Amino acid sequence: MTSRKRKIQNTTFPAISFDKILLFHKARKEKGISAFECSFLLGKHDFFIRDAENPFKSTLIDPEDSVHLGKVLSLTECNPETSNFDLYKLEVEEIKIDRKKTKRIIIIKNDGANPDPIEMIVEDKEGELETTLFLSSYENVQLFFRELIANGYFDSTRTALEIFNTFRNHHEFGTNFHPRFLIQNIRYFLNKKSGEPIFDNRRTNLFSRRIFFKPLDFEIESKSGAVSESFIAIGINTFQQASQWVSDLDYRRNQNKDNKLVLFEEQCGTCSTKHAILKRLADENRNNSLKLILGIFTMNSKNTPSIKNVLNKYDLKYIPEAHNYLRNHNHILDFTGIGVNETKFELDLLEEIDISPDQITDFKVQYHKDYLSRWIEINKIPYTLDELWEIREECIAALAQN
Amino acid sequence: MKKVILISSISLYIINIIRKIRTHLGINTRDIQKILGLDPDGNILGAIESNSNSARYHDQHLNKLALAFTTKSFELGYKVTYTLNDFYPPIDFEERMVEKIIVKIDPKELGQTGTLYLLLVEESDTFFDGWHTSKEIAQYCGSKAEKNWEAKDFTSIIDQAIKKEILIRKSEEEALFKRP
Repeated sequence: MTSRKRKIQNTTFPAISFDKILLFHKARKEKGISAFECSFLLGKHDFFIRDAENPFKSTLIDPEDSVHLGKVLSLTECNPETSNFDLYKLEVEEIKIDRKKTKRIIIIKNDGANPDPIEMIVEDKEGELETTLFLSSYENVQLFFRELIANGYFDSTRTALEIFNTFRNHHEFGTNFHPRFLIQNIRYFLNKKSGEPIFDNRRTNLFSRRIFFKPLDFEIESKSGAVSESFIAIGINTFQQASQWVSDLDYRRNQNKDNKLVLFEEQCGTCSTKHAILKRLADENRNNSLKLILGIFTMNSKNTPSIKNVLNKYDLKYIPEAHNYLRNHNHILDFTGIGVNETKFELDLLEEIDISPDQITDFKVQYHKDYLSRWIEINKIPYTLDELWEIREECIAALAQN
Repeated sequence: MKKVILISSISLYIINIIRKIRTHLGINTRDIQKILGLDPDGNILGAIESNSNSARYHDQHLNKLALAFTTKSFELGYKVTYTLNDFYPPIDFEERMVEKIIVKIDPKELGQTGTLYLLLVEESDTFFDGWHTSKEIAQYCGSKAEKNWEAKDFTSIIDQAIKKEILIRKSEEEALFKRP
């Protein structure tokens, strides 16, 4: 007889959340989708579902994740029946089955609750469950991935669920498609060591879900224009290299913003000159997807802590500020090099328009001032445009000091 | 200086559906505080149903509300059993960030209890600043809800409103009612 390590502990857990976890656990087990696969499709960290299923962890499945999981697991409803308990008193026995596997037996100890033991196996990351769903094959899934990549599907950012749904909607895979090889292929297209690192997964969306996309890149052709020639002259041959070089340049105002090669001459730039040069580079190389954007956003003490005192002094919650950046398909690219988080920035955007690189000077200032005039009027701000512009300059100075 | 509050479309859906159901059942801020086991003088509903606050419900709230709404629904004779699924959007609902805009409830969507509660409490309709008979109240509520209601439809509802101290009766002799 083998000896097994047993450990019994007591804990409490919000009853409705526990019932919900059981509902999802049952559904994913029936479909043979592992905790890791569920977490991956949810766009959260690898052990999110494993943590949620652990009564000793505080991870809960919130309404957004509930609906998302409902989609992943093709459920019609994503909630259990109501519970008459606020908290469950749980007795949890953990049994080590082997070196890698642990079984958890949970008994709800509240009077009147169903006393039947609930068994759960704690899954390791790479563990695969038996499934009746359609797995297809790793190779066939990869073929369709290559088709999607070639068709520009990944030029836009995609969540894992969006990709999964694209496969489920394809006649070859269908609604019963299992995500195993899909996930394995995404990891292949991310892997720098043993795969083809085509995708970028460094970003999350506004719901903290991991997103995947093929970063914009192209070869710079030397004869396509003055900007291209200047990049080639300093040994930069691709858009990716150019954007990194721009981002690494010092953040400083330029003397002559009208000079389209000013970055090369002054070795510094701001959001406008830095992004204008990249837009010009894209135009010269016949890339049509990259857009130069003029956005107005709420500059406040949260996204720009160094202006807190200035805003307090003038009793303002925020000032609408102008910012230039790039947009490629559905996502923002910011190479200002001051650590702008593109996802968070999008939340603070008030409005945006496409502009051409020669509109980063007078047009930008006029557009910004027109916006501020409307903002002063609509919000009954107790300052004139000139006064507000001065306050804004004070904010920029405070920002520069930092 | 209006600051737009962004919230997930799912959380906003839940907030607005709860608002609709609780109005239909005549459940006010104080009731919600009690249901959720919070300080009776607090106002979580004020925060959740505010366009300028990012507060939202979580599942523990929703479970308590579902139980309480079910009890109230049976008391009022509607006999609806609520679960969290009644508060959640359908599974295919799109997840996106949206401006937090709390819906204005149309009395046409409500029954007698909901309409009286909406006009009396939520909208502070000035009609209830003066004394009125139950017939006048029925006619006024009916005109807003585009329904043909009579005084007898409101007898027990007015009694309930008096018990909840959202309506007062002029005297034992005079069956006239107004907002306290």
